[in-house]
Amino acid sequence: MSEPAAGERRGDGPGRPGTPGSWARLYALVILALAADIALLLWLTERYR
Amino acid sequence: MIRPADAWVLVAALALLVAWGIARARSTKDLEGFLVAGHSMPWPVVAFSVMATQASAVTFMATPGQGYIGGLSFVQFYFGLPLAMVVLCATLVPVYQRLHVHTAYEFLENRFDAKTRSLAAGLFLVQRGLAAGITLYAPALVLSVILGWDIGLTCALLGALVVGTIVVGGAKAVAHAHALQFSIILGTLALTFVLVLRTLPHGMGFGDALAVAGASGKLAAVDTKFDPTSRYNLWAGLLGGLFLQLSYFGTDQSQVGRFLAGRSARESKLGLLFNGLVKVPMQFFILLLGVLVFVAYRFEPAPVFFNPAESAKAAAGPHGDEWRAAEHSWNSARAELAQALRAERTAQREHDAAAERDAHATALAADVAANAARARAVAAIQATDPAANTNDTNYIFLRYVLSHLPVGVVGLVLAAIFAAAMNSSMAELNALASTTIVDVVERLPWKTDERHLLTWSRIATLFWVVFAVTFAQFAARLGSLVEAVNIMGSLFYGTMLGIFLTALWVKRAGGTAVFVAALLGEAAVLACWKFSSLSFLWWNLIGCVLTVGLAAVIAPFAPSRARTG
Repeated sequence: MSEPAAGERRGDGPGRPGTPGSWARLYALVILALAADIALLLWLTERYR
Repeated sequence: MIRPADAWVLVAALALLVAWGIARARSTKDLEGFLVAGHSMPWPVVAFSVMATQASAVTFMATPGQGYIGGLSFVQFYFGLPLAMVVLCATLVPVYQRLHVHTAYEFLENRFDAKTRSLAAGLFLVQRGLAAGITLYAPALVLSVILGWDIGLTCALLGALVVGTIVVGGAKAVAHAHALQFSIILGTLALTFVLVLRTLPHGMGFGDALAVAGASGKLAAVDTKFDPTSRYNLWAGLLGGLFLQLSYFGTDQSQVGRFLAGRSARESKLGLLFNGLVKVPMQFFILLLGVLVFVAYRFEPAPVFFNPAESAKAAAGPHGDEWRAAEHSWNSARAELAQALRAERTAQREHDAAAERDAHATALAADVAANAARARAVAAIQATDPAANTNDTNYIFLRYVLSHLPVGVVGLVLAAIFAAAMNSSMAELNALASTTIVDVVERLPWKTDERHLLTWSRIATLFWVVFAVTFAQFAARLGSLVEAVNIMGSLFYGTMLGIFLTALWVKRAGGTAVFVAALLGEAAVLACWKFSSLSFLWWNLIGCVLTVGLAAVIAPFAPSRARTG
């Protein structure tokens, strides 16, 4: 089976996000979006209870 | 039955899907391309492929039905998914990419030993091999009942639709086909949402529809009460859902194969994170579509039971009189309900509080009477055939689509359902073939060159397609198997995840420790299933925590061959 040479294509690769800090910001964005989704759904639940 | 114009739209859409898949498949020339799409996919393709794999045809048909029956509460099932995407991106994805694995189970031999890899790969092949048959059978059953087609032929048609694409093109073709199929599905859902809004009674806006749905409790999306026996609440969704989604995306090759197709760890991670961002809103809108169908049916006649085959059987059977009496009561109660709801809306507009109160009380009474009539109809179905499926959730949306949406759009919706069935089948069958080649064939004592391995990969794919179609024919005669196979997934996912998390986090644990811990963890999950009323989402957490914890405890006493991972 053909394997790519070590490091070829398989790391984070060029481009952004790539640094640990930028990934941490993306992770935080996903978690904040979930929190916002749950807050909106809680509002909907209470509004039409 | 399907109208000619809808049939043409369906045939044209299916021809486009198959032609697109085969055209893309022809570029696959090597094993790397066949197994993991040559690690060449950009993140949007990874994201669509991951989402398309999870959204099976049953999900597409059943989720609006779930919204109709249970309202928005099912959305909580997905709360753990964004968290799981973050955990996966921070842990397993970089490890898989660094080790250049083609299947998730390859990683286990690198970290532990051959027997742990074989245990995980074996569990996957058995569980997913049976599930692949059900993936074809379940939508084929609904389509055959609704359209009057033969179930066996419908299963074979679905198998035939995926076979050309994946046998020739493997993972690369799957990724490209997913992108097109999922676009069709999303477009069709959006169009259907707008059209369902237009079928609401004259003068009724979106806000009015929400008010009607809310009055029936259909907009109770989040339940904050902690109750381990309740299937959907905030805590089961966040904690149990996190472990279920972690297991599914991190250890099930049908998903691992999709994100390993990313051209770098960055593309794989961005694809998964995009899934984490849009999954909850997307499921919310699909459930809301079902809620809108519920509202529309409050103002017009609805079938007492949505599965036409079971209804016809009950009407023609020895309990036909009871069935007809129940149906008559249902129709009367529903007519009264529609009239009362209209009167209530008029009273609201005219600020007539007394009239509004009266109309509301009449609507409540009519609703109770209608529910009682439906219960009697279901009892008649059960009395006619004790083995009959009395859950008609999967049929609600399609019945509505067939009777309300304009010609052409119905064909498009049917094409989207076929596309969804092809999505999940393609991913499963490609994953089964990859695991067969990488975790079984490549480890046999005799060595095979890459060209022959590519041929073997195509043969393995064909084998699994034939296996799935054959099992689907068998499942058609054994309805209870559907439920059994679905439960099986949740029974094993927690333990599987536990093995992978032990590999990452319990550095001193070796193959023997994790093997014994996995067997004990699995025994505990089986005990929960057999002897407790715990909701199935929690099984994933229990299996995982026990496997990791026991591996840590056993590790000092068991021989270790731990490697760096």
